Amino acid sequence: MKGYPVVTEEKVRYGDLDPFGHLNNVAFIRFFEQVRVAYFAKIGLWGEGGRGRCNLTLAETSCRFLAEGRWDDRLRCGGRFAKLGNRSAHMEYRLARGREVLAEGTAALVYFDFVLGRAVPIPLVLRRKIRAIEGRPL
Amino acid sequence: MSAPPGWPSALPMHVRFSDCDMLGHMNNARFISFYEEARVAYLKKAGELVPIADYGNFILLSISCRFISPARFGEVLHACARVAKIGNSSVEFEQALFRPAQDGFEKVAEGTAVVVAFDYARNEKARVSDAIRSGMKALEATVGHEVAGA
Repeated sequence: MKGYPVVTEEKVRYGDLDPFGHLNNVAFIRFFEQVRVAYFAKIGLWGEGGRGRCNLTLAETSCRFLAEGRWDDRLRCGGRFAKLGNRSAHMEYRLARGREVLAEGTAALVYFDFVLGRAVPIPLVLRRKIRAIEGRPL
Repeated sequence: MSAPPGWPSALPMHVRFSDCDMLGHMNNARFISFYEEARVAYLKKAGELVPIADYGNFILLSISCRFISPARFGEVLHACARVAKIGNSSVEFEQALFRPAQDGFEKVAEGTAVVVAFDYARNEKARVSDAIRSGMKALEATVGHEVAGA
């Protein structure tokens, strides 16, 4: 998926469908989450030690639905960072069936210190890892 | 249980154990699910005020959610919906989740949802029916709220 450095492969499960026979909107949000945590794993967030003292937490999310997902679809979900702020970051997601884009989404993330109970600056080491994966300045 | 002021429809929802993730918070996708339940409850309530013979089909065009405070296992949240605007074929919902607080209600999350009336036989968008418009308008009027474009 061009422009999205981290991609997860997904399959629509029976339980993801609603009474209209469509992939329910909540499942889209969960696919975005899957690629988000796959990205997080690549940059060392959510390692074996669990969440750690600090982590990127979700402050806001959105999804725009472009086409229906159906039973047994094989989907791919792409994730990328669009913006790196001081304490916050923005990600973008795309869910596709082959070349057809089913949905696009965004997330606003805040780097949160669970001991201090507030947002703190995103460390340089994390920024470097994200920029290395993105292969472009942010 | 009274509803948060300004919201004509509020559905009590339990935060279940399985709704919570590794941080011990209700998972973000559950908020979206609660919003969906709130929209369905809203439509049902509108149909109690004005008979709606056919709800037709609404499909979801977009959704957003801003997370304000983590929700935890065992809480009961009020899942709210209200209609901000009705277009020719679209309806813009405002949504929020509240928890009871000492001095009323505390907002846990807020968001938006845009739905589009859809005719599956023709495979194209349809006009929001007059019955649904009237029902939404009547429901909003119960909290003194006027709907744009209704």
